[in-house]
Amino acid sequence: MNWSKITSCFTRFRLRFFKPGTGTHSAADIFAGVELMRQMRQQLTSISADIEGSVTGVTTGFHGMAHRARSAVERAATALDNPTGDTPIDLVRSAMEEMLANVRTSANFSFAISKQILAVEAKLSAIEQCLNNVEKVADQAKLVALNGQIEANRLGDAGVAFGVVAQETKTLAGNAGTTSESIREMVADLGTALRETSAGLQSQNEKDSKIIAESEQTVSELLDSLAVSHNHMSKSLSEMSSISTQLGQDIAQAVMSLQFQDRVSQRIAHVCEALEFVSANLEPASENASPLAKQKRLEDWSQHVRSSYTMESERTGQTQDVMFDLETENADNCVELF
Amino acid sequence: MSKTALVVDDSTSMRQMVAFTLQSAGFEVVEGCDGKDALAKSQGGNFNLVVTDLNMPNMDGITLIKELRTLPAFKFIPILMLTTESQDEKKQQGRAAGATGWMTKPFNPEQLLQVVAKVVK
Repeated sequence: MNWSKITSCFTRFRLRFFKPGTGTHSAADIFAGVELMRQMRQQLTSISADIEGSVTGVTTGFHGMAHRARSAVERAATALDNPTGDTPIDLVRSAMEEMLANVRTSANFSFAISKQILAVEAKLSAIEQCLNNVEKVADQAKLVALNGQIEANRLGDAGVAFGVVAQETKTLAGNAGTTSESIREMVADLGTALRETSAGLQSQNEKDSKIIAESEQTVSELLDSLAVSHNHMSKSLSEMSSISTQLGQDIAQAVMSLQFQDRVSQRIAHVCEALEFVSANLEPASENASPLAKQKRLEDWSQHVRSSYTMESERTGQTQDVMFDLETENADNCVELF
Repeated sequence: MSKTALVVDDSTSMRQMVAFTLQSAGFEVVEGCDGKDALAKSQGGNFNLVVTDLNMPNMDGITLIKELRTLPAFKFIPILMLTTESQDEKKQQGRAAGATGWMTKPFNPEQLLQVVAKVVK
């Protein structure tokens, strides 16, 4: 027990309620003093509980803030983090470049086919040259057949067989000429089709090349823009992380400061113990007072104490064993219109 | 698997502050409002750490530590005293009872976690 604290309390109590020079205090005075000390103990206990309740609420709030700040930073970090070290933008850029490379390869293949078609066209010209030769041979064969027919006629019966051979030769030469003509037409059609296909492919190639070049530029610009945004996000995240750390430190400091409540509660508990000790020692001296005198003195002193109170909870606490309920009081008294 | 701490203090707000601090480091926390309550809750529990106040009703922190140290499950568990008391005599009593460490209130959450990291393997 802290005697200096008890003495201090008692002295303050004497100075407040007893006027100097009034002689020995009556048993009713002592009764009233003891009763008021009991009420003050209740007030102090109630105050201590109020402080603890408030501190608990503040601590819960701080914990929630710290938890949410930590979670937000962790979620953002997870979203931006990549185990390979590449940013999502790097991955998108790589995928887009690969896709455009595939498109470019496809376009190059079309271009190669177009070139091959041109080569085939050249071959067709060679075929036409061959057909010219075939037609010349057929024409010469016709002349040979004609000469043979003339010689066969000149020989008479001896030339009949020779005339048959000359006739067949003429027929074969005619067939060769007709066939050559048919092939020439087909080669001409094939040449036309190949030229159209080649022209179509070249036209498409030019369009594809232009589209690819534009796509590459657009994608590159978009990815650059995204990279800038990503860098900003990363920077913001880093700043958020730093702020979160600072917030954690601030909260730690606040939590340290809030622990005043524990010390205050202990000190209040010690003061209550002191008051209880004083009361217990004074109480026997009040036994000789009459109930009426006790009641009168208690009412007088209670009135004096009440005159300094400003809150209903103080008045209630003085007369009843009721804990101060902050929520109820606020709900009932938070607004007052005049 | 997360670690479990037994936090003992007669002040609700102090228990809460210590619990929040330990929870942020991944601990699960069981709270005791005094030595007697903590001793009851220690039965059958698998704890990795005890943080206890000194002055509490029903059973104080020194007595609690002495009782816990008789239990096989708490023979080698780190027990930290977290109290406003700073007298050397009390600290010696705590050490003699089997306390692993002594922290004076008000505590810094980061400092508490640093101490916990040292004593909890």
